[in-house]
Amino acid sequence: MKTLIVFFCIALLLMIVFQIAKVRDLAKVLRGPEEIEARNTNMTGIYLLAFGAVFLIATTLSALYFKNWILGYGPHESASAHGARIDTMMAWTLGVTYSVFVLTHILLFYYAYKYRTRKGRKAQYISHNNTLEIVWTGIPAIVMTFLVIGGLDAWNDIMGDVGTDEEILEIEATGQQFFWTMRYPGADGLLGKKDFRLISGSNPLGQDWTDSKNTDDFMNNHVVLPVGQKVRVRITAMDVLHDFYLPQFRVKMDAVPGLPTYFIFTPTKTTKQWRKELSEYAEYQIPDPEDPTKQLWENANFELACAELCGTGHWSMARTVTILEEDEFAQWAADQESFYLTTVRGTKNDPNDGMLFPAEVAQRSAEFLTAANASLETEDDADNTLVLEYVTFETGSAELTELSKYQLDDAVAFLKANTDVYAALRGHTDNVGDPDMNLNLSDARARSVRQYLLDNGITVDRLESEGFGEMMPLEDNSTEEGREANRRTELYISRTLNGAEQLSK
Amino acid sequence: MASAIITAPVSRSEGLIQELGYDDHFHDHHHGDKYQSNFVSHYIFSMDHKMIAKQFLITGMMWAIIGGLMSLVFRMQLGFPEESLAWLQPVLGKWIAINGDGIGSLVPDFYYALVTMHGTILVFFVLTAGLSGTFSNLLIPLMIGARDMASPLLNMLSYWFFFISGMVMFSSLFLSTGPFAGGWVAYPPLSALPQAMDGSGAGMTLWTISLVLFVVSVLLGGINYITTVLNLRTKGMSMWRLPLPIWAFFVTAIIGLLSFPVLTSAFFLMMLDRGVGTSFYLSDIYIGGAALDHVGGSPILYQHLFWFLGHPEVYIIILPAMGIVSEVLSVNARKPIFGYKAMVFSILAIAFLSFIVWAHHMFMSGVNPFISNFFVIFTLIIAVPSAVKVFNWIATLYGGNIRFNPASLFAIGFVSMFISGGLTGIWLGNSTLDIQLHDTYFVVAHFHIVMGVAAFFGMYAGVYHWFPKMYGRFMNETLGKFHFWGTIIGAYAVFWPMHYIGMAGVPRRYYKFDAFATFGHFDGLNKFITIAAIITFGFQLLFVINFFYSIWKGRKLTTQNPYNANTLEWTTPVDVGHGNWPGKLPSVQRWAYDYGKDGREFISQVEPVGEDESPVH
Repeated sequence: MKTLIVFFCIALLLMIVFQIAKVRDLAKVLRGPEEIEARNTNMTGIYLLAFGAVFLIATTLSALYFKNWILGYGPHESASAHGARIDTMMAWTLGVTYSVFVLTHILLFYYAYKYRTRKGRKAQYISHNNTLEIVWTGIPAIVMTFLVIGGLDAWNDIMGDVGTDEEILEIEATGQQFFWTMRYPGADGLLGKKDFRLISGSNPLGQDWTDSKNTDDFMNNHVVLPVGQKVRVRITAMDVLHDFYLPQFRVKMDAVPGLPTYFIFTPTKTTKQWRKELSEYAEYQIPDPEDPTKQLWENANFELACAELCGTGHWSMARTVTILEEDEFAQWAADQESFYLTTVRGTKNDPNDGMLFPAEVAQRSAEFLTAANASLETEDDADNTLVLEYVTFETGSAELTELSKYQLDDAVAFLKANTDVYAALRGHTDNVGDPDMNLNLSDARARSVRQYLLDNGITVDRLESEGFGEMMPLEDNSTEEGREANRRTELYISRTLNGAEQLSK
Repeated sequence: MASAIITAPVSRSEGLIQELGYDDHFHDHHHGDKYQSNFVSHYIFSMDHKMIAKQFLITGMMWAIIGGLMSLVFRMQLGFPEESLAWLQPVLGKWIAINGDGIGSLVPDFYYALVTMHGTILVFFVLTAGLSGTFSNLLIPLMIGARDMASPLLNMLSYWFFFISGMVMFSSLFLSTGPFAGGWVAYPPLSALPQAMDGSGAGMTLWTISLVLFVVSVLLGGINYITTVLNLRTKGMSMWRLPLPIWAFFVTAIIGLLSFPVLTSAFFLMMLDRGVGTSFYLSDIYIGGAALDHVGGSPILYQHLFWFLGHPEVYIIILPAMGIVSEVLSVNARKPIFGYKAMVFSILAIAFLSFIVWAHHMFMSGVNPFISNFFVIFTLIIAVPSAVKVFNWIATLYGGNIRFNPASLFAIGFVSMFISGGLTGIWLGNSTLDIQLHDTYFVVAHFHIVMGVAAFFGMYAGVYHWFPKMYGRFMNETLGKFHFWGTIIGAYAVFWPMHYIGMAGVPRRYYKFDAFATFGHFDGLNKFITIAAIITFGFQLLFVINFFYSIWKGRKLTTQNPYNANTLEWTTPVDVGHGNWPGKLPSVQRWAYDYGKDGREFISQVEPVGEDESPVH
C-alpha cells in the first residue's frame, strides 16, 4: 500500500511538472517568443553562473570535510615507506588538477553567462588563434611531463624487485574463494615449493613436503609483520583472480592463478602507534558502533582486503594486519607451530615417513637425554623405565627399522656418558595373535636392541634383555591407540642394580 | 515523377541547391520509393538511415531504462542495507532473500549480476549502439549530402544484429542460475569456470553469444559509416569541410573496426576454454575441491585482448558525444567552433593513442611493472589533446551570443563533466597513484562522469538538437531544461562523493562494506548517493515522457532551418523523405562554421563564397 501511494505521488508530481512545462512552452508561442526568450535566457544565464559557483564551493568544502577519512591526509598518511611517495604524488596531482578544475569551470560558466544571447548583440567571428592554441597545447604538455617523470620515478622504485644481498622477510599470501591464507617461512627464512595438484584437505596450500624448506613454514589467517622490516609478499591465487590490498600501506597487487606476483614494502608504524595517531582526531573519538564501550581509534586495525571481483563473497575477504615491534614479532614467530610438523608429520600423507630431519633428530635426542637424566635423579626405581618410542621393528620381525637407530644412538651416547649405569631392555607386544608367539617376538626384539647397543660399544655386563609378550600392557588393548602404545621397547636404567637384577625385580 | 516533387524553392538554400546542386538522377531511379512502401519495410525492416537511427535510439532508450533501473536496485541495497527490499519480490522473486526479521535483501549473486548487466548494457547497448548507432546513422548521410548509407541493407542488418544481441542478453536475465555476474569485463577464471560462480554457467554463455552478435552489429555499422564518409560525400564536401560530428563518427567507426574483432577473438578463446577444455586463460586452478587439468594459460592474456578493445571502446563512446557537442555549441553560440583543425587533429590523436594505452587498466594485474612505463607515458599524453578540446569549447563560448536551449545546456554540461571526469584520469593514468586508487570507488566516479554521464550529456544534446529533424516536431523546451538541471545536479550528487569514498580506499564491487572497519565509515554518503540516483533517474523519465509525447504532440517544425544552422541537414525539407533531398544533391561551397562572419548571422554550406567576403577561416 505504501509503495502504491509513493508511486501515485511520483506519477502526480510528474504530471504536474509536465503540465507546467506544456503551459510555459505554449505561453512562449502566444505572448511572443522574443520577450519570454530574453527573460528565460537571463534566468538561465544566472542559474548557470550560480550553479558554477555553488558547485565549486560545494566540491571544495566537502573535500575539506572528508579530509580526515581519506588516505594520504590527516591520520591516514601512509603506514609504509613507499606509501609516502604515493601520498606526495597524489597531493601534487590534486593541486594541479584542482587548479585546472577551478579555472576551467570559472571560465566555462562565466562565459556561458556573460555571452548569453541579448538583443542587438552579435557573436564575434573567431575561428582560431594559433598563438593561443600553441600555448594551451604546450602548457598541458609541460605539466604532464612533470607528472609523468615524477610518477614513473616513484613507480620504478616501488615496483622494483629486491636485490640479492638485501635482507628481507618473504611471506606468501594466497587468495581463494573467499579468504586469505598467509604463509610464513619459519626459522630458515625460506618458503617451500608448492603445486596446485597437491592441494587437499590435509594440505590446504598444496605444499610439497619433499621440499625441506616447507617443514618449518607456518600458516596464519591474519597478517603479522615487524615494523621497519622490508617485506616481500609473494601473492598467489588458488581459484580465480583476487587482489592483495592493504589500503593503509598503499599495497595492491592481483593474485593470479598460475602466475605468482609480488609486492615489496616496509611498514613504518606499528598498530599501536597508528591507534595513538588516530586518537588525536575527533572523527575517531566516537564510540565504535561494533563495540560501543570503546572509541573508534582503540579498535582500529590495519586491514587486508580483496580488490578484484572474485565471486559472490568478494566483499567479505577481511583479514587484519598487525604491525609489531621487531622483538614482539620475533617472539610471535617463535610461538607459531609449523603446519607440517603439527599436522602432517607421521601421518599417511607424509612422504618423508622413512627419514628424519636434522632438527627432529636433535629434538628427539634432547628429549631422550632429559628424560633419562631426570629418571636417574629419582629415588624410586620404578620411574627409571624409559619407553623407547622411536624404536620400531619391521612388521612381524625383530629387525630394527632404519629410523630406530637415531634413538638407539642416543641410548648408546647416554650409557657411554654414564659408565656407572646398568641397563635392561624389555620387549612388549599388544594382545593380537598367539600369546606364545608374542612372548617370543618381544624377547627377540629386546635382544635385537641389546645387540645393537653391544655392537656400539656398550659392555656386555651392563646389559640385559627380556621379552614380556602381552602380559604388561600400558593401555587398554581394545583401542588402536592403546595397542600401539603397548607395542613397545622399554629401557630400564639404574646405577645400583645390574641388568640381571633389574629384570628379576 | 521526380520533377513532380520539386516545387518552387521555399528557402534560399533550396534555391541554391536547385541552382548549383549536383543532379544524381536519384529520383529517376527510385519510383515508388521501394524502401518504404509498407508498414514492415517502413518501420521494421527499414533500410532508410533515418528510420534505422530512430530504431537505434529508441532501443537504446529502452536499454537505458532497464540498465538504469538495475542500478537503482543495487544502489538501494548498498545505501540502505537495513531497509527491506521485500517489495521487489514480486518482480525479482528468489533474488530477494528475506531474513528472520522480515528484512528482504538482494542476494549477493544477483547483486553482482545486476552490477554486471548494468555495466554491459550501458557500455555496449546504450552508449555504443544507442549513441553512435543513432547519430552516425542519422547525421552522416544528412550532413555529407548523401542519399543514404553506402549499403542500406548492411545498415538494416546492423540494427537487427543489435536487436537480437539484446534479446539474447535479455533472455539471460531469466535463467535459474541468473545472468552473468562476473563484472562487465568478464575476467577469467571467474567467467570461464561455471563452478566459480552461478552466473558463469549458462549466463556467461548467453553473455558471450550476445556480445559476439553485438560485435557483428558494430562492424556492419562501422564499415558502412566509413565507406559512406569516404565515398558518398557530395560535390564540394572535402574532408576539411566535414562538420565535426562526422569526423567524430568516422574516426569512431575506424576505431571500432580495428578493436572490436580483437574482443571477438578474446571471446572465441574464452568459448574454447569453457567448452572444449583448452587452456588459453587458465592455469594452476584448484576449485570446488578439485585441481583442474588446465595448465599453461594466462588470465592476463584475456585482459590484454579485452582492454585492446576496452580502452578504444571508451573513445568509441565519447568521441561521438564530443562531435555532437562541438556542433551544438557552435550553432548555439552563433560562432565558429574554435580551432576546427585542432579539433580534428585532437580527435585523430586521441584515436591513435587509444590503441596504445590499454594496459593502463592492468597496472595492478601482474604485468611486468617495467611495461607500465610506456602505458603511463602514452596515457598521460592523451591529456594534451583532451585539454585542447576543452579549451576550444570554452573559447567557442567566448564572445558568442549563446542561445540557451536544452541542447546547448547539455553541451555546456558535457564540457563540465568532461573536465571533472577527465582530470581524474590524470590520477588514474599515473601508475603510482593507481596503486592506491585501482579498483576503488574513485575509478567508479572517474569513468561514470567522464564516459557515462558526459556521453549521456552529449547524447541528450544531440537528441534535443536534432529531434526536429527526426520527427518534424520540437521537444518541450521547459521540460528539457528541468531535465538538464535535474540531471547535472543529480549526476554530480551521485558521482562526486564517490571520489571521497574511493580516496578513502573503499573497493568497488562490494556488496556490503561492514566486513571491514576501514570501509564502513560512509553509510551517510552511500545513502545520499542512492537517494540522488533515484531522483536523477526520475529526471530521466521526464526526458522519456517528453520524447514520446513530442513525437506525436510536440510543437510542429514549420521552417526548414529552425536554428539558422549551416550544415546540410537543415537544407532538407521539413518532412524529409527517402533520399533526403527532393531534387538535386546540395553542392558544398564552404566549411560548416561560418557563423557571424562579415556581420551575417550564419552562412549555409551551400552558399558560394562571395567576392567581397573576407578570407575563409
